[in-house]
Amino acid sequence: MKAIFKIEEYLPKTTQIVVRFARLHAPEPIEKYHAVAVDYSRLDCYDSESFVKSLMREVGNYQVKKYEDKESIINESETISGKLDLSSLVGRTIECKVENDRKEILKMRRVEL
Amino acid sequence: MTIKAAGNPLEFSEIEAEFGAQSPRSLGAYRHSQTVNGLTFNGIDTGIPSGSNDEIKFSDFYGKSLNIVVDCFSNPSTDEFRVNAKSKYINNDIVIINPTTVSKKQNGAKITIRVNKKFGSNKNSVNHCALRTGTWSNPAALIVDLGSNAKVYGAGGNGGEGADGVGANNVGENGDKGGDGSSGLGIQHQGTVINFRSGAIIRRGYGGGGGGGGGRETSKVDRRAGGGGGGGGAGFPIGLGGVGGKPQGGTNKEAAKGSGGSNATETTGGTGGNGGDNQDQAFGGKGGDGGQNGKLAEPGDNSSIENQTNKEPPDNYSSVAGARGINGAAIRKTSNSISFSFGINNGTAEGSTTAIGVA
Repeated sequence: MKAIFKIEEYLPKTTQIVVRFARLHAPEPIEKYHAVAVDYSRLDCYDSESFVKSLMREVGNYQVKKYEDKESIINESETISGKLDLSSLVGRTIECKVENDRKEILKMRRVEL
Repeated sequence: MTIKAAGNPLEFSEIEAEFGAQSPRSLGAYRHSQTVNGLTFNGIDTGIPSGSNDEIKFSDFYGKSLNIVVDCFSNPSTDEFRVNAKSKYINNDIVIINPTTVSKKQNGAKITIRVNKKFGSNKNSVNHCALRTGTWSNPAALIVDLGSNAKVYGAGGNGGEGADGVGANNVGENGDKGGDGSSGLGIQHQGTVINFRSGAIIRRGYGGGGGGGGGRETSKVDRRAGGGGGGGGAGFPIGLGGVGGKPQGGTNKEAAKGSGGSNATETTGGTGGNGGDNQDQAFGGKGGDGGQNGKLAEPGDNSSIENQTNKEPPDNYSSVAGARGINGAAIRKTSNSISFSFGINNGTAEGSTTAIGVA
């Protein structure tokens, strides 16, 4: 997921910036998302790259995830578990996770040591 | 005392009793116009002629009152906090609408509290107001006149402190509640009229974020992590960020402190600090963000513990995160027996205008 941020105010006297965050693919303009005040003296301001990374690590990641969780769900869905019956899934909307890593579920028999 | 109503003959001494003796002693000496901080009084009271060539007669004075302006506008570059307008009256921070120097009085007078600068509250209670009317003894009218530069702001609540990890018996060391915001204008006099002019702002203070919960994981060694501090709530004065929690026991505790929350600005809440991380095993909860217009302060998060299900007894714990602070109000009144109205309502109010309790 990619994110965007927009600095609304720069307040050097109090070492603060007022920033808005959103997902790059957010359904609303970034101005629709709440701004937050951030103390930039706690961020890594060595260069642009380090600033962006620390801003996202300290504040942005949480804000973006929070908005994503709050956005309205258009598609009603359900979860499934246990024995698979593909025919029973036809026409149903199933909830699942998007994962980037190569972790997989390895089902195995229980081994008593 | 207000001059009697029409119906009975009026004596000149009754006019002098209300508006003071003038020199020369003539009815024409009461033709008067005066501007105070941009607020013009055309007439020593409403309806009494003010121009030097205007006809003036005894009947113009029936039901009229002395006008007194309470000064909540001087030294506009110096902000004031927790002001009681009645105290300003007592301290003679007033202007009397009159061509000469006369004595002040409450009974029967029209009192205008002229506000045209910035006032802030404090953080001690939601009931605490930046500016309150005070209680008055039978004035003919009490008017709060907010000019275009009036800014009457509640204070932002401070962020709650993050939890200091988890207590030795897996209880306690909880995150603190965020501080409550306070309030703008307090009405303590029945029948007060508010002239809320364009450009004037009355704004509540917003609550601070709650402190994050602490975490603990004990599968191999005792690892604890502090919660993040809550962000400050928007207001004037601003809400300060809460400090991060510091584990009071276990290993690696120095490195597992929670981060402090950020301070707010007057209009924007501060962010909550992140929870501490003890060797990727124990995690503190994030502090909640401070509140601002359109956004409530957030409670702190619980620890996002490494969840090992079905472990008995469990080896991971979270202490309780702090609740969010609540918002103050734009306008409060002492009780339900107090009512007020708007003569002009063109300003900007942010927050409730019906809250009860003024201090």
